[in-house]
Amino acid sequence: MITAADITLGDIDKDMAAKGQATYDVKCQACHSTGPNRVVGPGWKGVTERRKPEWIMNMMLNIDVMLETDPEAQKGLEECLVRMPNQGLSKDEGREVLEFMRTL
Amino acid sequence: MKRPLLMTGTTLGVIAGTFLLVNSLPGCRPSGTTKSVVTGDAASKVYVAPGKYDEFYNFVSGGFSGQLAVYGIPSGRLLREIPVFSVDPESGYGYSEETKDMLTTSHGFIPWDDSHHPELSQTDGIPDGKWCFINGNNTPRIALIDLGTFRTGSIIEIPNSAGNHSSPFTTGNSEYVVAGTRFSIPMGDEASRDVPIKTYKENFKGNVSFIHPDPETGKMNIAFQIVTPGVNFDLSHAGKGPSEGWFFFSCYNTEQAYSLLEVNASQRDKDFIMAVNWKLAEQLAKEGKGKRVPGKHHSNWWNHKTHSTETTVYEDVLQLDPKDHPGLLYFMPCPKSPHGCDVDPTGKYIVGSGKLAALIPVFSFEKIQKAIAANDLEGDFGGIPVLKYESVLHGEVKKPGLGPLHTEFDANGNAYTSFFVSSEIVKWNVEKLEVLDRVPTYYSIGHLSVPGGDSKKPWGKYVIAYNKITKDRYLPTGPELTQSAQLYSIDGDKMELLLDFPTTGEPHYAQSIPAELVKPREVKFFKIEENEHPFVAKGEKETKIERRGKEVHVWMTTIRSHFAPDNIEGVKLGDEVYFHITNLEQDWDVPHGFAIKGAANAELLLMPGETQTLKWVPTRVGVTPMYCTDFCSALHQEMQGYVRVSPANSTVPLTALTVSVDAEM
Repeated sequence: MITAADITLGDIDKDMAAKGQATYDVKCQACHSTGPNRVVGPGWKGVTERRKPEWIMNMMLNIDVMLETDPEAQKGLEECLVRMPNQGLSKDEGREVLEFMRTL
Repeated sequence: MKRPLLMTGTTLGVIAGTFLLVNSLPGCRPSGTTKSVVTGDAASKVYVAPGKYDEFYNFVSGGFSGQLAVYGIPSGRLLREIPVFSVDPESGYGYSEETKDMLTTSHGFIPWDDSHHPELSQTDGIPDGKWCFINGNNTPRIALIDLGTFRTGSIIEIPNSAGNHSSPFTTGNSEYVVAGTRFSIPMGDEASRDVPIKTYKENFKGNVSFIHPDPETGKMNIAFQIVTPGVNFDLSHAGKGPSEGWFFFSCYNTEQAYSLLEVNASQRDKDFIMAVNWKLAEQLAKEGKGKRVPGKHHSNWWNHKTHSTETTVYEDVLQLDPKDHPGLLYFMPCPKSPHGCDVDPTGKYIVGSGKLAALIPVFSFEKIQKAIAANDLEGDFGGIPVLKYESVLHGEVKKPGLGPLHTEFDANGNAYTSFFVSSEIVKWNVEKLEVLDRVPTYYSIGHLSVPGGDSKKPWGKYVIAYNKITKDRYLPTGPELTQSAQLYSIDGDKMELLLDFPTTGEPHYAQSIPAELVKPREVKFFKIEENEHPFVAKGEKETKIERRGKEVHVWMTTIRSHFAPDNIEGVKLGDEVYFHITNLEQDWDVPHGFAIKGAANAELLLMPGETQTLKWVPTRVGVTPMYCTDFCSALHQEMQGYVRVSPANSTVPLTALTVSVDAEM
């Protein structure tokens, strides 16, 4: 699991965000808009203000554990009724997607 | 083929006492056997608790189904049926644009076959869990199944062959798998092939092919063929240990009959086992000996990166004539119409199972070599030296049963032979040639299988009978009854029946391997980043629609639980629509299906990260539904879309959309 200590947030790293956007286009965009509204899963606009970075990364990288143990993740499933898929992201890819989210 | 029992139970009882060896009779239940001989705690020995795994994978041929089934042992639970030589509308195999070329041959598209003998690839004479080969009998082919994906990875056609039965047995490091033609035929150019059937003796030839699978890719090519006198080849096995470098093929119809073989090919008391010095053949081929002869054939290979078939068409094949190369082939007399041709784990002994014989001959490789060195011959057959039976014989198992068919081995020097006519398995000691135990099978066993039982290192533990007739063993299902396998423990001195389990198709032969050798290889999904399909859509941003004349191409994606696009307009009557669908999921066990009303071919089943194409030709104007056929999520029933089809002269613009109610992008 990712903890707060694993993530350092500084100024937005544009290269990292661009890589995150490329991953988003292939693996996330089918279900998540970059706006405020839900498609299949929640829209990403402002997500980094609503959620802690380690929570976001665990949703991307450790979805099975989150849906078993995290009440907020479980609440999301009750709302969307489609399990967030494990899209096979590496830790680095997850971090890049997080950086992309920060630009929204 | 399964044949119906022609007699009732009561007449059987009378006849059994004077049962004669007549090969036209189907196997019959021997008298004096009980219906179930299960004793003690057999159930606990085959019980695999919910959520637990079986100890072995069991790869069972489908016979006339043309496929390969996978069971867990000891539970007998069916895990999967892998489409190989026959089309499979459920997955789209043989129907999708990418897979249909897997079934092309020099005869065109052949959507079925008769698959007989699964053979696991080997490293140092031991099954390694990498591939499983299987032969197609009818339109001679060999397939390689990748045990990482449990999918057919390549199929090669065998030219100058008719009925690829004695196949696809492997050398100790899977340098080659072999194919021996069951039917001998006239070969060569058209004039040489168009001859009267009664000229069999002059014009018909047999041959055995050595096929090389590329160790990296699994792509197969024919390294060489060896032409032989006209006979029927039946089964084969590679030598190992001291006999490494040799291959042994059983053959029948040394009478060279071409009609009513049932009688005319059962005249001689002995037929042959043919010994091939394949190391010498390999060397001759490498030295450029032999000649290329006509032999058009296809080699089809599944490219895991492009998710598509690549076909190579060969016009000819390298053939070696043993007349030009003494020392390549020898015949050994073997009683009578031998089927099984099995080499024991030490590689010292070769067991012939003459299906019309009343004994089992065991040949000694050491004696074969001595007889060759001493030129100890009893003559020749079609120019090939025939070694003297007594000189190459280790010994005979006397009166083992009726109709010996096939033999496998355990690691303790014992052999297990199936007896079709007397419906039993007989255990005997290879060195001493003594019968140790026998158990009935229900009914008419064909092949049998011990895990690793044809290799250098049998894992033993079980012998499994693959039966031709089930008659009264299961709930009846009309005229056609289920086929079956039976699992016996061989841990103790006595064989013990543990379990019957039904099988799909005809369970002709099978091999088993410890699960631990296969499980770690499993591919969980195809990485979308590595997908090189020419029509892949890596994300919904890459979805689109394009008209190319009368062809409409749709780049489409699936994810739980929608298609993109799911509203298509501008398709016209007379168009051919190609749906190129990429499953964007990147997790194990999340396939999506694709079906469209009126599809004349099949549906598609798309594994995560995979791209496949379904061609659809609309036949009427209107709005046609399409949907996902694999229950993918709670919103699976919502995974659907529409295609609007307009008249041929319509001016509706071509569009492809996914419309989200309130998403602000």
